[in-house]
Amino acid sequence: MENILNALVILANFIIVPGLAYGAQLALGALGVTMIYAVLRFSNFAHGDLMAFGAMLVILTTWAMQGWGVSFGPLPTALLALPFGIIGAIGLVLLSDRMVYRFYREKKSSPVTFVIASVGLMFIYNALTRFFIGTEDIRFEDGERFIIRAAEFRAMTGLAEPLALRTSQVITVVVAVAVVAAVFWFLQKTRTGKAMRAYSDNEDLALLSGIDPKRVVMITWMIAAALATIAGTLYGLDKSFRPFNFFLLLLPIFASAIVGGIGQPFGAIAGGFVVAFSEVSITYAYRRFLSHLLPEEWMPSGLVQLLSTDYKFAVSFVILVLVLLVRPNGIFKGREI
Amino acid sequence: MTTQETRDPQKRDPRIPLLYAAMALALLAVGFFQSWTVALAILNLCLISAIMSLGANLQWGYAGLFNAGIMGFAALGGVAAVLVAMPPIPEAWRAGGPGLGLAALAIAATVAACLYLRRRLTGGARNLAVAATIIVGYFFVRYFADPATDAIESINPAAQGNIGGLGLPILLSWIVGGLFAAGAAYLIGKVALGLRSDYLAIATLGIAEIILAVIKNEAWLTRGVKNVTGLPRPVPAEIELQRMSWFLDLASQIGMSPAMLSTIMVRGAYALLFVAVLIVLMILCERALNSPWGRMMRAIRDNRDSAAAMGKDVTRRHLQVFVLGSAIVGIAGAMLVSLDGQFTPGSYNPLRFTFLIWVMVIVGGSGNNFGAVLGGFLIWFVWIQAEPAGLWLMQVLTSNIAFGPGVRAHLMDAAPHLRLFLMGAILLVVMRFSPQGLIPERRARRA
Amino acid sequence: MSYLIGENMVGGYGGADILHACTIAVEKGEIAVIVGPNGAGKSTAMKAVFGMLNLRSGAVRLDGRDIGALSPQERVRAGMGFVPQTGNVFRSLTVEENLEMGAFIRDDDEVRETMDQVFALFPVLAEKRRQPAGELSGGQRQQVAVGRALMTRPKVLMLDEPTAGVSPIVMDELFDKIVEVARTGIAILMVEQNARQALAIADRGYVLVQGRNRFTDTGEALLANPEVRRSFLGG
Repeated sequence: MENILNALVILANFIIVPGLAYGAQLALGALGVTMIYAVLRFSNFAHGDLMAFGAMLVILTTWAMQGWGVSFGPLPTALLALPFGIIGAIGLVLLSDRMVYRFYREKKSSPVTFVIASVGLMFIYNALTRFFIGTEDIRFEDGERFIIRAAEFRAMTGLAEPLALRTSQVITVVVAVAVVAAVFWFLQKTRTGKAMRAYSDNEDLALLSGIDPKRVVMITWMIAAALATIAGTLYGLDKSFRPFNFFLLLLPIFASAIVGGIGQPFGAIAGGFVVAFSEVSITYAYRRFLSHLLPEEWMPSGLVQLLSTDYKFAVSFVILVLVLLVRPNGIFKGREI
Repeated sequence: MTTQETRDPQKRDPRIPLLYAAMALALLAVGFFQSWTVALAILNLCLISAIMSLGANLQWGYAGLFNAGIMGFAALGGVAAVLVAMPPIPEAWRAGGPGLGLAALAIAATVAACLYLRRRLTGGARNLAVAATIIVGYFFVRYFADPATDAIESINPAAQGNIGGLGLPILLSWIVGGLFAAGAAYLIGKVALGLRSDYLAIATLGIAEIILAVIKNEAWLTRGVKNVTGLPRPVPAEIELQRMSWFLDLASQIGMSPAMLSTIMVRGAYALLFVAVLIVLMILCERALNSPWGRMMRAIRDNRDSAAAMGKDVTRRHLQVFVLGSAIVGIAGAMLVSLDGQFTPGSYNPLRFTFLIWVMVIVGGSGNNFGAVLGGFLIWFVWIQAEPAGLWLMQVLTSNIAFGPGVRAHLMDAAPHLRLFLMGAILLVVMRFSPQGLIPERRARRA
Repeated sequence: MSYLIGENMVGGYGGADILHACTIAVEKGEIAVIVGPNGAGKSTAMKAVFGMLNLRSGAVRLDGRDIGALSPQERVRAGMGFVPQTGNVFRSLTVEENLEMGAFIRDDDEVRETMDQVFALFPVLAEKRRQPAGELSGGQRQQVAVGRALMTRPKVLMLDEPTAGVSPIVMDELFDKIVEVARTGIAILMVEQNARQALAIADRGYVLVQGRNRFTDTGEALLANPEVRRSFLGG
């Protein structure tokens, strides 16, 4: 019995908790990508760097707050700084839209033109982030680091295996749930949210109904920027902030959006967790987990790891390819491709 | 519908000689005002960039395919350079050869079984059976390969620890690099072509990351992040030249230090080789563009639906052009590693190796090979020169305005990142105000 | 003076003219039907009235006011409702949300009442108010489309082939509903392929041929006209 408990604790500690946190981060990023896709109809390659930019603003504000002696008690100061980062990121995307995308929208350019324009903006966001904060790894988590420490858990339960619960992981999940609930409430219940869905569903009919496309586009960008900043900050709190890592997140985020059916908000959330749990569970070494369940003589010799963690991006890629091959519209039937 | 395009290869765009001459002047200016070794170093990378840009232009300019994985194909070219040119390591093969052979057999058996199942079964059963076969096959491959790769990696890990190469001339690897990239492009193209244009971009972005991950981590193959140095060179080394008496005579005759002259001669020799490759590829690309194949390609690009309605197999044509373009990038990747004399997987970065190439194609003129080559030259030149220019600009700015020393130091550190900004701005400005690029595609005039 | 009239309309989609001095008019509470062979410019005539193409000459007047300079969106605000032939519902939105979006331009407090009126007219929609419109049958979708257009409380309702692709039974049902709508005092302008059935409910019929008015009369008279029967109604 205790062996089984120990094995379960290992699973919780190394797969379930990290998977939930990572999944929530991906889901928030993918939700932004999918909303941009639904309304503006292109894959935003600058999204990873938008996350980095937003998170950078949050970090700079956090440092300023720490300098003034402001703190959020046991919670990270970054949560207080979050609104400032969101406002800055919204400013950046609205400026980008005004100066870049609007022109192509009025010309009704092809989606790939938008994608290339987003590559241009990716360079610019990237440069801004690096210019202000450099390329180094930054940790900006303060306050209480753990909710449950490994030693405490052992003492509490008497089990051999520990379960550590970091504050950042819990915050990630709580914030993500709140944000996703707010976005869905907005989309389902408010007039503007419904207008956005209507516009995404049938642009001509939406225009005929008197829905203002400029407003829909603006609100989409604002939500996407807010989601990107929150996702970027949570990822940075949970792991660390390094601009290049956010570019690398682009692939799992796209995979999440496509798996769930691109253009489908609910699908993006589900896709985020599918990708995260696949990545975590496939790259985890199960040796210690098995050591509690199997008798000594049955233990395999290796680490019992399906894939080295260096290949975690391969997992998102394989999921992506499988979906494209088997079910191109994604689990929740996204837009026609 | 008859094609109404009357392309006249004799009638060249008058801008071409002008812009090329300006580019040459810029390089000469570097020679006169900075140094000739720097000018040649820039020229060599300009040439390689131009070839990559040519490959990307084949895909984007001819067919409208967005390849966001140029980096991966270039890196495959680098792998080819190592595998072709490095001396073989017989101990490694003795230790791990049989295991690798069995693993290769297991891969082949898995693929064969999958193909067989795909043909024999249908529906859900087929997907399940194929998935199960792949999983079983994966464990077999790992079973054979893991001990073999461990054995190989433990042989003289400080200097080797990999399977080595074939010990053939490195020039051969330029062709092999093209083949490697073509193979990878075929596989990814099979999956992602025929879907929405964005999906190809995302899929290629992914494949590039995976190729890099494999190269970095499979140390038995190309030493991974431990890098391969001391690759054989296609031209003599500087040191060798400096030992030759005719060379020393020549140096004293023109009054140049032997070190300087040897660098210039070696870099010049590389430049000649690269120019030769560029000219050959250019001729092939121009011929392709003006052939019925090229015309059909552009017809598909301009109106995919009507081309498909006319019975053209759009996906197949796209696959061809995608494979060819990637092969050219692979060739350039092998050339780059030959020039560096080392293979450093850590140096591959998507901004520099994928998206910078895109800027080259768009700025130069997508759909026009002369434009793509010019774009390769120009953007590489700007990319290199923007770094010192940014530093200089920051110096001027910070010396005139009173900043604290901390701020000043930060600005100086941050200056190099300004060139990323510059590249983004160039891309966006050209797209917006001159979407045809510097040398526009020679467009159809209505007959 | 008709309530809505497109008078001597000449124009097309940029290339050659499709309409040649074509005149279409409808009164309040009346049903006007445009019929004619394929390519006669039926839909084009209706789109011209709705402002979806630029006229080279001619005028469109609503209640005596020249609306030729208004965009389609502005014409919706001026009291015209339009039901396109395809893509006329938001497939992923529920029936109720479709109706809400129909009322998007309204800022009064009586949207609820209009919606109840629509539900009274189309009881099946009330039943399926929480279902996505894309999951409904073809006929029910057309009801959603008409209901959506009615949500602006239009004075004129224009329908572009509302019965395309639905079964004869559903078609009869739809026509009954359209008659009901007309009885509330709304002017109805409709393009129809099913000429015989449409003319049967029409107060006024227009037979267009190559963008010109060929016959104009009451529906009854057109159905009785032997030449119309022979050429356009298949005997």
